[in-house]
Amino acid sequence: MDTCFAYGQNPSMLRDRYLEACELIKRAWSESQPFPFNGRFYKHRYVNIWPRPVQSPRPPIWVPGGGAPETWRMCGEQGYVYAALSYFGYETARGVLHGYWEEITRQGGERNPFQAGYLQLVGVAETRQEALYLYREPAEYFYDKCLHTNPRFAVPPGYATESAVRFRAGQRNAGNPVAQFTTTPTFEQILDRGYVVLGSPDEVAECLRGIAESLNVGQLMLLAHFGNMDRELTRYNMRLLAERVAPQLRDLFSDRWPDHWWPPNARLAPEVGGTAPRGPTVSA
Amino acid sequence: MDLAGSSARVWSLGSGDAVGYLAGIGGLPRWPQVLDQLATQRRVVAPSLPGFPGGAVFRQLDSQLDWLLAARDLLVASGLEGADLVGVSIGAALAADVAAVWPGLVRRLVLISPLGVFDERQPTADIFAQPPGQLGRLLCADGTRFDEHVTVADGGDPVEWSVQSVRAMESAARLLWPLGDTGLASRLERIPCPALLLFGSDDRVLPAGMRDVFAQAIAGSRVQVVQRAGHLVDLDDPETVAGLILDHIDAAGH
Repeated sequence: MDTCFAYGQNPSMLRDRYLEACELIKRAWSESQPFPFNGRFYKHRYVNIWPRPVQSPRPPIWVPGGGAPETWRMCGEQGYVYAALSYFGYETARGVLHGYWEEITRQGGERNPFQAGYLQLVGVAETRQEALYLYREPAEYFYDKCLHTNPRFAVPPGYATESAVRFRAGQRNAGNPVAQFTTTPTFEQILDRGYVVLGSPDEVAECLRGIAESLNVGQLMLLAHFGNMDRELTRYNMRLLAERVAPQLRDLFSDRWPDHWWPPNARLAPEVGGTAPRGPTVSA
Repeated sequence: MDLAGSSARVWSLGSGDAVGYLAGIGGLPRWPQVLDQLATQRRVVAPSLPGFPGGAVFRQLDSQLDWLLAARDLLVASGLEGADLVGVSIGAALAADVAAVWPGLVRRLVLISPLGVFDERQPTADIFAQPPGQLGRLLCADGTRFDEHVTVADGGDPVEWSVQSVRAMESAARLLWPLGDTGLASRLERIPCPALLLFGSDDRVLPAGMRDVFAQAIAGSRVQVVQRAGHLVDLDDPETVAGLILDHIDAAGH
């Protein structure tokens, strides 16, 4: 919607343009001297960036994906993290990540879970009942107002590759869930389909551990702010997530696999300072 | 037919002097009735444009010049150099450009609902932003005509037919995104051959005012409006369209 219909970019050229941009950025990060770049889409007489990345030859690269086999292939070949940006729960992401790991295996690569990411909306409270009360409205707001796309603008021609069209048709024919940008789910559907994981810290941790292990995903991107959540509720959610959920998950996969895609000295960063927010109260 | 390392389908029927046919949005996933009508008096030759059903690869075509050269090469390789030429919709945008840029390549020209020009005061409909299942109704007065044209054939693979339709729309988008303005307006006056402009009375893509834009820019051109027909006039009323085409291209004594 935004790139093609709002900004006027040609959807048929987006992927090739993106791939060329990746090459330009990686060269700019790694070359020590200014250089000219004469690409198919990007033409620059002088490429000379500042500041330069700390990492050499480059920082790790994470790529969001929605199920295009070309993206699985690229991530495997280039050593990028494939991040399944599913706003539609782990059951929808399962088919996408299965395809990714199949491609990694086909390439003869390792199934290192840290080379896969997964986005999950999360709402934590002291109890499940409190979580249902606090996060129902933000969840409904998010799926009705923030993510809903008019079907006219959902799929500009060429935005999805032919392989992705075949993959999604296969998922539908197999009865597997697929991303639904054009319909608004009810709160019950949001929960049943796992779009949002809600509950007490222990419940959320247990659920996330199950998701990570079943999807073989080591990079959990947990969305603690969604919809119309205000600052106070967001801080409450983030604090519970950081203090009571994350510690239960830190050991995941780390005993068996190295994480090449995360800054090593940032893994156990000291707690960010500031005053502790007050948690919202639940009216009985 | 081999074409710059890729193959393209060229359909042909009938005998006599050739008349080329560049199809509209959606291309030719199946043989259309209008070609049968034309083949009663001429040898009709319908090469597939890149990306359209039967067409060559298209993802190397980045600019209008790339498309123009590809269309010209396709026509020449199909034996249509110096022949009469019919173009529909997106096919008409390229047919008009080819006729304008290579004088002598086209003998007599028929443009049916031509795209390629955009006027802010009378914008064409956005064919790429239609609700699912509504494209047929936009393109034809009787939407079922288009739907039947692109529906999977008996024994065909529904997924691959779907991919073929997606590819045809992507190819159209590659040339026409975002407005359908290929810069043709500034070249129309170069068209040297006799041109017939055919429009549907119920075209939901091209506003009626666009008829004058083309008619005034192409010297000596003639406008005819087919009643109860939409943008893809050839699908809505193949018999009338074929008759008007044959009248025009035979006017010089063939």
